[in-house]
Amino acid sequence: MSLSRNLSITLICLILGVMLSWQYKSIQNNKKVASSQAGTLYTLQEELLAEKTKNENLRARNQELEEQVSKYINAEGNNKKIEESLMEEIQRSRTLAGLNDVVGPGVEIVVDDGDYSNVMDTHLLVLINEIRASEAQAISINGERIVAMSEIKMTNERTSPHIIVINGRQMQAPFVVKVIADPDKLSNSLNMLEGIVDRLRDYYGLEITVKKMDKIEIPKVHDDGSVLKYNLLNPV
Amino acid sequence: MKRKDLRFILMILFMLFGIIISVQFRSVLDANKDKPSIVYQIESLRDQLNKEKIIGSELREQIDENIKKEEEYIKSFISHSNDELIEEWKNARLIAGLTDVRGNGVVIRISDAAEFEGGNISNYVVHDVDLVVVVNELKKAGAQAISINNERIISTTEIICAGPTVRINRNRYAIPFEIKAIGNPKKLYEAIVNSPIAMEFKDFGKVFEVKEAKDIVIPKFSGDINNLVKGLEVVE
Repeated sequence: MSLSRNLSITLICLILGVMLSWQYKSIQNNKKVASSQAGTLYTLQEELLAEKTKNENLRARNQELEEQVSKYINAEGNNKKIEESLMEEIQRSRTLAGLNDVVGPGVEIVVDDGDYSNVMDTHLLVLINEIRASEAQAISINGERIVAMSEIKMTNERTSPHIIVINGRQMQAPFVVKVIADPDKLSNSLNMLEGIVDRLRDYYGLEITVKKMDKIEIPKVHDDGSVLKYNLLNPV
Repeated sequence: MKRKDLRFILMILFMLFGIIISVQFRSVLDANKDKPSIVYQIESLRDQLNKEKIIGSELREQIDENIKKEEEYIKSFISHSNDELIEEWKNARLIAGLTDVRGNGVVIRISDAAEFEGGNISNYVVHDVDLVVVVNELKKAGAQAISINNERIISTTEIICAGPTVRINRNRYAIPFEIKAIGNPKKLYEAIVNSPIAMEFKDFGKVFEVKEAKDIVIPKFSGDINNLVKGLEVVE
């Protein structure tokens, strides 16, 4: 009698133990699966968003091309008109490449050495990148047009002021950065609290002024073969 | 006396048993309740993502087709005396980054550190400035065409943080980054491997792989161009 009772209690305890451990494991597992799924969900959402903006931009480009093609179709037989359209397109590509002098509204930024610090290549790199992020259409530094392959190089860190090379030309502070862009939008994003102007002024100790302009003229890149090199590029 | 004890023990055991069963039951139910919705969401996101990718590649094909069409129209409409104009058009597009190009150069792979070894976590991830600096190093070494994750670097290209991704040409990209550059492969390789930014990546265990490569293809810029030049008036 007492043996069977003991036996049954032992059995029940055994089952209980197994269940407990199983329970623990299953809950732990559920948690892990849930958190990894939430992570996957998040990255997928991000990827989808990125892909959608990409496609929007592609769509815009495609529409632009379709309009160009229909321009040529409509002008069939009219040689003068076709030549005009072609010239227009050449000009647009040249403008984008930085091969035309251009004028438009924008902002003039002057960056100068502070009392204790000098302008470095990275300061200018970050500034130009911020300017591009505010949809700038043309940029020059001390008269050098910033094109796709323009480098910003510091020759020697020990000289004061630093010597900076842009498009192969040496220059020193002050740096006059001319930008054609929406003046309000650009100056707002540059002057933002903790923005690039704040950082260069307060954190790096440089002098910097931003001035909105109705009309800014930006010269074309030197087209003497010293800046624009494309001898190693084969069109596909 | 002994009987009562035993009954008491049994009662407690069965109570525990009951509680465990109900907790287990609920946890399984909960997991099942969440599961279908999150799994369903993930699946539908994957579907949407695939669809967007297909749309993207279709758009790219359409763009290529439209460019070809345009070229054919121009060639058939314009008299042969104007071959120069067509050459100029092609050249302008090559410099502006509007054609796919092929050549020798380097391929760089960049990503976050695999392991976090204490300190500031920000040191272990890739920042927009890192990409800007690497691209500038390539330009210093004479690169003639550069792309990041197949996004062509042109005169207006920004490389700027946008949440967990980096915005390039108004498109968004996440790690890992693949930077391709066409130029003198040896020169590019030496410059990149010996650059301060490469050392910095190594110090924190961030991924930074450089290799020389032949016949790299760098795709054309594929956003709309009107947007990039509409504020610019050409000065003759």
